[in-house]
Amino acid sequence: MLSFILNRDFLSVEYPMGSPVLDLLRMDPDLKGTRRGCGEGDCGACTVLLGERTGSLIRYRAVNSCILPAGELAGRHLLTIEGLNRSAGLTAVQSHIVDQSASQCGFCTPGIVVSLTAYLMGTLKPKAEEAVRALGGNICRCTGYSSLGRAAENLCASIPESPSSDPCSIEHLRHLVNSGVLPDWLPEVAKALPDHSQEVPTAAASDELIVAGGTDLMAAEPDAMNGIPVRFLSRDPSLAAISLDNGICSIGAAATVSDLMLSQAAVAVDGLEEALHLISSKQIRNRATVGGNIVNASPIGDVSVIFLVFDTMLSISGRFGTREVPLREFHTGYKEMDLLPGEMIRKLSLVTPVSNAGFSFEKVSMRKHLDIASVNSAALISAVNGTVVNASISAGGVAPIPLHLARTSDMLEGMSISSETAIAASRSAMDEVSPIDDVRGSAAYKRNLLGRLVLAHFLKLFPRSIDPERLLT
Amino acid sequence: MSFHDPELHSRGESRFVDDLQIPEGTLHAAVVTSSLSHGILEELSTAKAEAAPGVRAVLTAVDIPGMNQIGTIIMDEPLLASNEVSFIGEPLAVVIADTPALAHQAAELVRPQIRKLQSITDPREAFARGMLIAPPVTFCIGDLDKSWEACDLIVKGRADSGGQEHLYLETQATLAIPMENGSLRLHSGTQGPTYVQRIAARVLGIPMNMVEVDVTRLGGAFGGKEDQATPWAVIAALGAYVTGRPVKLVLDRGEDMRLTGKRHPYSSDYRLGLSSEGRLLVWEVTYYQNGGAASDLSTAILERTLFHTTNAYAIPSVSATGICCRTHLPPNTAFRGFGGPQAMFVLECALRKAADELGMTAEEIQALNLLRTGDIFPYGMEYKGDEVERSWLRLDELHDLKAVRKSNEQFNLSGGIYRRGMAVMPVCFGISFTNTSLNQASALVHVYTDGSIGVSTGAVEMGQGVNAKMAAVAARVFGVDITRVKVETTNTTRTANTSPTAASSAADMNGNAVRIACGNILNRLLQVAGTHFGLGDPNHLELRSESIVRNGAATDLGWEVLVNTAYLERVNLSSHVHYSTPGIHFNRDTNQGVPFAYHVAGAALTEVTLDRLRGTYTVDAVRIVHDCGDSIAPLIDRGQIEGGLLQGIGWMTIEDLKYDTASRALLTDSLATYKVPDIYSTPADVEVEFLECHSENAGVFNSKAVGEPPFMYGIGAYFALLDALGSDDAERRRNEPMTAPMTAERLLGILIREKRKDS
Ligand SMILES: Cc1cc2nc3c(=O)[nH]c(=O)nc-3n(C[C@H](O)[C@H](O)[C@H](O)COP(=O)(O)OP(=O)(O)OC[C@H]3O[C@@H](n4cnc5c(N)ncnc54)[C@H](O)[C@@H]3O)c2cc1C
Ligand code: FES
Ligand code: FES
Repeated sequence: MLSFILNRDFLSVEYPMGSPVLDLLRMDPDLKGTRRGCGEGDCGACTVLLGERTGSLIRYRAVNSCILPAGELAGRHLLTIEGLNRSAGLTAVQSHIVDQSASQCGFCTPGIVVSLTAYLMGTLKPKAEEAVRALGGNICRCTGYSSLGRAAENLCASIPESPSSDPCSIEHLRHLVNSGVLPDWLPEVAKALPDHSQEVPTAAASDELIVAGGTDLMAAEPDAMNGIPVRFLSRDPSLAAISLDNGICSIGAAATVSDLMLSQAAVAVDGLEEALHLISSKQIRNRATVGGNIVNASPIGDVSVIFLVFDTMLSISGRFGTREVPLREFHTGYKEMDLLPGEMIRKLSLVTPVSNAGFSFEKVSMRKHLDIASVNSAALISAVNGTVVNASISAGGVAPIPLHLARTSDMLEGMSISSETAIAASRSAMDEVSPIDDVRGSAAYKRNLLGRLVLAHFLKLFPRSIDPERLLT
Repeated sequence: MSFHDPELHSRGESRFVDDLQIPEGTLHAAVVTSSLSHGILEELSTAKAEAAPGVRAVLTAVDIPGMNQIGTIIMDEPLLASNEVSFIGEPLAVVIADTPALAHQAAELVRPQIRKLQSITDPREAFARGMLIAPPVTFCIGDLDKSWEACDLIVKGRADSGGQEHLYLETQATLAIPMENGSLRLHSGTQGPTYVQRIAARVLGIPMNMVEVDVTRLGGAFGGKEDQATPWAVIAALGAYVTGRPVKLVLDRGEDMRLTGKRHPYSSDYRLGLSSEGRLLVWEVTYYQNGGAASDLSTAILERTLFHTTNAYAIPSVSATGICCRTHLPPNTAFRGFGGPQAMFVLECALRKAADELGMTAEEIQALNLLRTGDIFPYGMEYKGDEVERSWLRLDELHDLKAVRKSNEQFNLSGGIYRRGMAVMPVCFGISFTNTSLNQASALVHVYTDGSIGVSTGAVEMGQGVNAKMAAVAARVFGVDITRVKVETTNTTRTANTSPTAASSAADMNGNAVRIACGNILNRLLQVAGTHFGLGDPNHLELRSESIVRNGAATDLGWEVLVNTAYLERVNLSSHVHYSTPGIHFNRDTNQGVPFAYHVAGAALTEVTLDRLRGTYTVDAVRIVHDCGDSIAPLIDRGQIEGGLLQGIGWMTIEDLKYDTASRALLTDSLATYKVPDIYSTPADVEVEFLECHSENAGVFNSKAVGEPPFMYGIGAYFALLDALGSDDAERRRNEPMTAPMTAERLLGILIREKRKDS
């Protein structure tokens, strides 16, 4: 039995834990505003809000209901477009969209209203530029993006700064009620949610399928959870904890990419937040976890490629206790890894970079955002007096696994920072990889692109020592 | 009460086919399709599927009561293949079951046995083998031989443009409901309700009056639901007809992408002759159109390619040939621009090449050759407007094209890895269906006794705002508040024999029908008012702001009282009006005539920044001057311009259809692999200015059609990128075909080759 709050109503239903929430919604004749455009997280027409209470704080995030397993609803608040509607008239978000004629065929519009509302729920001082970014996961084929930009601008200008100090507070929700964004009943309903931090995680059983964000599982194999026991990692808040202590950063495997972007880790590593911003969309980042990205083992996994350049250790626990495996040794072949049945990754630990080290992440895909990389690459290079002390470069999309470019990284040690060194590293990286032809590009393209991305790392990290013209010839 | 679509949309309360409440007992259809691109269907065993749980029927070609034929222009497409299969995704059988999941599961159990035959997917190869959908067509004007002799420069080359997936967010969908006595009602997501009606009747072997097609709205269409909504609607109709139960068919995204046709890829050879000062003298071009396996609308689309072969330029001698090639791909179909964009791309390629050779900028050649009033198109029609030149001049006045080029040159001297590029794209697009007989529409207007108004037309709302425009027309004629007007669903029982909502002309033609119909009722109401005031002649009466105005002064006779009075006096408060666009004709023997009511023109300046290191780019700005006539809905028109632009940019840059080289199966069959523009792809700066209107237009209240023309501004993105590549790319341009889309992969290929050549 699944118990949760759907808009204003407390609900208990029999429904398969692993089935998508979108299917559940679309069975209800009164909830047709949440739409199916793709069924795999790539269009945002199915966007809903998922609320969760921790102590006195209630956090709402936009997620794709088409790849949200129903089991995640338990004890949470599911808010759909119908829940946002006022009985008469329009909410602030809706009226700005209507005023700018930013809805053409309208199929995408409810998802866009939900995404913009979610943005306002997560921020104290709305900014148009950020509001537009919040729509990165909403495809409008018609395409009203320019008018949506104008609507977002007017919307943000019309919402006063929140008197609250935390966007997860009831006070902030009340502020949004007063600003005409949320219905007046919402704060009371939200307060009635059970406290997530009080949930007692059930003991792990080895035959359970681990579901972290489910973004990969649900999109790749929608039936994966049919009729088998499932373990939702989100039920154990300790698995999502992120801490920074004496230069050691510990990241719970079930921390989402969004969690990571808001964490101290993102503050500690210059460029990390910007890098993470290139991963999928807001809705996906709100669900996709760090551990899921690593175990998903996609050769272009952005999180894997990023963390490969830090000397990241994985804590893996299973029936026989806990063991530590370096991330660089974790992936062993295409979708093969050092993980036994029943084992799970609990956390990642890494040493935050020293002050003379620079981090860079590069990703080129067909479309810059919400797309899988053709090739991605990260670099962490520390230099003293113009000489490389330590270098670490990784690459995705060029081998069966996300690859740490050990040879190239080692080679760089002791070399002077110069255009020639950058070119040598680029050549070495191109030799070190074995890309294949696929829908994301030909092998030749990917090899060349990696070469270029390695050059880009150097240009970005050492702009004064590198001559761009030299790199191009 | 608001009937304003955007309000419903924003509340999630507008209803699409999949949102309709289904009647009790509704069954669900799943389609079994060919997994081979060409072969002979030797066996189709359905027994296993029939025995599967929840299955009510498995239908194949033999179960079709009428004709197994869904072609519109040429009768060459079966609904369900029975012998030869000619593309991957061709429907072979239909499973009708209790739930969509059961239908899909059972569909997997149907095992077609297909003997594989060689498949051809390249249009030039198809042409070489004589695989044509129709004989080649040539548009010709001027004395070619003489013109070639007069040329100082002749450039020739090849240009290829890719297909494009429509990716309307609402997939193809129909709910078919059996009514009494064998009749059917179809709730279909189609741009062409009459097509669906006619072909369902044909396939079922029943008269058209037994098929009612009703369309509330479409979640995007862009041409993809003009002809290609039909098979799915007819399959649902067949299921309902055979089982006697309502049948629903909604394609999932992957099916929709694999089974339906796209924008036509073209491969073209051209030759352009110029004078030394850059005047265009002669244009010769052959378009090989990849039609796919069945004709669909290909011949009409190819014809529009020929109509727009010279776009916004005056060229005295032209020979343009279109070859409609049959290949083993899903039948390609209408997509915003309808063959126009493909034509314009080729000519712009030729202009760039000529500019390279003459050492001129593209803008210099473009400006020199823009159409001027009185110029003659290759199809014999005179250009009556002046907007082509005016929009160019206005664009130049606003943005100083030379200054932009100069500042780019300056930037590029010290831009490091970045280089800026620009392109101006002028557009001149003819408005009207080129098949003259389709240029008709109708409206049925009712005024109810409480003063509310119902408007039915043949136009289908699909996001282009036609309903809002129809409501605005009615409110304007009656002088009442727009909230009184409800635009009804598009329904074949209320408006019969409608043309599809296409060719950008639905608002023009249906709007004129609404205008006249409302005018008819208004005249009767004014008569009633005249009698009320004891006047013999209502000449000095008007309806304004919901009341009768007499000699310019308001009276206390309000709209509601007036309507009710008219009713009591037994005055007809309804009007049905048919409208046909006047003055158009076209002779297909000579390919000369006046096929268009008018032309829409405009010009766009696109500015890009190329990252020469990564092979990536941003489209920074697009500045547009566009001719909307006197727009009756400026915000809607602006949305059409901005939306069309972005789709055009997508076509030219990131939208890249990929097929398996061996099987020819579509590889980019999901949103994960086929990328359309997102909000980040939108240029930071999109400026739109409406050109001042000086002319009298055939559109309603002097407005002009807007749907398609802005798409072609997107072509500028391709040429702005070429411009950014600059002279380094000139040698490649001289020797190699120009190919769109300009993907990141293609760009880096060009940049890296350029490097190798230099070193
Ligand atoms: C629309 C869309 C866009 C995407 N874009 C990107 C992108 O830009 N970049 C990118 O890298 N990826 C992208 N992905 C892929 C994917 O979402 C990410 O890799 C994501 O991080 C996976 O995390 P998850 O928590 O959702 O994994 P899940 O789907 O929950 O799990 C994936 C696999 O890992 C296992 N697993 C999860 N956590 C653990 C654990 N702690 N211990 C052991 N096993 C575990 C699960 O059992 C499952 O087999 C995208 C996916 C979608 C649907
Ligand atoms: S339906 Fe497209 S993201 Fe969910
Ligand atoms: S309005 Fe049609 S998809 Fe956005």
